[in-house]
Amino acid sequence: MAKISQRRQTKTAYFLLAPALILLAVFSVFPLFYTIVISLFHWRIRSGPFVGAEHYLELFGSYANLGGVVVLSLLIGLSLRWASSLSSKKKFSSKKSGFILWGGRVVSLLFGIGLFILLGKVWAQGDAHFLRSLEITFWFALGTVPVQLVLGLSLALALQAKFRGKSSLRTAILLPYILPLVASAAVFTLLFSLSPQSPANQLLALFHVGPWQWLKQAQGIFASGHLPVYFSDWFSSWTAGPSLALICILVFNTWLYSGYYALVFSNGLAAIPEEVFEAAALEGVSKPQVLFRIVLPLLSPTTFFLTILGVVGTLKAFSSLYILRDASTASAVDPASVMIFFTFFREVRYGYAAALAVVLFLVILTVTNTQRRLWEKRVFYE
Amino acid sequence: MNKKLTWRRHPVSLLFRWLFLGGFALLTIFPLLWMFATALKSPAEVMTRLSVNPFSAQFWPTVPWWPNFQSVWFSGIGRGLLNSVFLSGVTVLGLLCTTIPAAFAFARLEFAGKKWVFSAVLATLMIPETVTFIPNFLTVAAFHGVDTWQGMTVPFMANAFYIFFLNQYIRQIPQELFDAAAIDGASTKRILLQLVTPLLSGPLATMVFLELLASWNSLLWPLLISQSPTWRPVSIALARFTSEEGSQLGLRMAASLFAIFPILVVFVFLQRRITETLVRSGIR
Repeated sequence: MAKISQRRQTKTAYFLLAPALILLAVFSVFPLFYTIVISLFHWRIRSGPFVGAEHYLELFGSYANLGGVVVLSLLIGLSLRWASSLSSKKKFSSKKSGFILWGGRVVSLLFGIGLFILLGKVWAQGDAHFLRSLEITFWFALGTVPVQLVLGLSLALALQAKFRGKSSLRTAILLPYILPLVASAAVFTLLFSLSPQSPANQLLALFHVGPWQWLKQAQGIFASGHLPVYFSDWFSSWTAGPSLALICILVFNTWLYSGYYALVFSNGLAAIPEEVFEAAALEGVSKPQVLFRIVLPLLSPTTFFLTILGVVGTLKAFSSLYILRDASTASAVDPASVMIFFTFFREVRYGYAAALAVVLFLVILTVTNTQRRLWEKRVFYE
Repeated sequence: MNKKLTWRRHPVSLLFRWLFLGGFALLTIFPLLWMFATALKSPAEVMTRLSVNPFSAQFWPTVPWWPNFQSVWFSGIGRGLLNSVFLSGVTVLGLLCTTIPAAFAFARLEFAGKKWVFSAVLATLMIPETVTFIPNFLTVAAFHGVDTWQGMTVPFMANAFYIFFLNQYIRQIPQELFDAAAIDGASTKRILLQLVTPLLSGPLATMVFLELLASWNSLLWPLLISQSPTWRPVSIALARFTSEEGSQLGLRMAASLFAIFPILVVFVFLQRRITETLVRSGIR
């Protein structure tokens, strides 16, 4: 191989790469830019007149809102970034740099609160449906990622020994991840159906409760309807909390991915060198301390990876939600991906759907970037 | 393995470990057991045998009721299943044809612009389907690909994730093997087919399985492209079946069982290679 000239290798390489590169260019890179173009046109099945930023205006209500959201999002990112670059300078002591880091987080939190209040205005003047779908995505991430992390880690720790039946237990725990989720979602629609005969309601009946509506219950679990008038709908939609229907979907998601999280954590645990545990045993370190002071910090790259994966996965999830949702609970369970699909598919508003997709893409970029910044100092690389 | 865990090998801790894992495993397989039991119940039994305890006889049918499977097969699921087998098979074949050469080029060849092209390919991982599906629909429609199997499969025949995934394994193959092949005068095609492919059986089996699963589960794209029943995959057939209010529970669960079966068979065949590879890499 080494004898082949550089030039010939270049030719061979591009010949081998061509099929993959062409397909990726046509179906992945080009669409990214073309979506932006479509979002600037009035477009229903066929391309209509150029409308500029009109769709973005419809989404945000006014240019002031649009500008405010962009500026505040940038400020959140920048304050975290400045704090982290300032704190890593050598002239500060470790105590001082920690202080600066926390200062950056507090400032970005303040900007975040400002953004939240501004979004209330967007909710009133712009597209409340889209904001609602982002709010649902937030509940989704909050309700699944931490639970899956804790469950996955506990399962992985429990699997860290030799005992009878270990491999079949591991296969059973991984099973939901391996089977087609369209089929298991179909099972869950019946497990959590509103009929009094459904397993969920049968379980309640054992305690003389119910029957509940489960997947058809669109009302938030904390909804009381007694909020003072000066709170806008935006606030009351947050204080109402996730609906029972959404919680059923969260249960499904946790069921689906916990085994996978356990698998990844097992890999992380296997990578910790034995000497670490031996040293801890020699020093007489207590078990909880081994867990919290040694294992968790050493696993932080794995945890970080799973957190990003979980949050981005939430923003992208479609198939399971499409099956578990119901037209009557759309406003309670549809995340952004589903909402964009229906704007395109049912309302046939290609231009507006494209604008929503562009905004969702920016949200994903911002969220992953902010997460990376927040974790930066805590992720412990060997 | 044992040495490092001496601090938690007490018999009591083993019992707790086993109870926790066993309890969780029971939760994970409960929906599957329930699906299986319900698929075998007659319409009358679905409404009367209601126990949620898999260890009770009331959980199971008195005698297996087979007509569920017959009527489900002929109401769209059968056709969807055959379509899905074909569509996911074609997607996986296409994916292998683009991914193996590309991963090989990145892992083993030095060429102008390599760094730049590789990071561009990796960057496509950041672009979600929600962002690309609108232009892609317009592209496929422009090529008259709506309602054709080509329109259903070609857009998924390249994936940066798998290129990156295989690239890591091809890098681990010792250089001496490639040198020996070069001395023997083997062509690039022969190196790919007779050297790289056999050595990567574990990662390739994993890739095949994960893509089969992804293709089996896909709903967004088939909903747009397969507007007539001709190429409708099992995912859509199942979604339609589930959303119909009237259809009986036994039928719905028989349909789900049909949809699970082929994937389960593939998994059983590839199991050892897949778990080996999965345990060593983080994939979702």
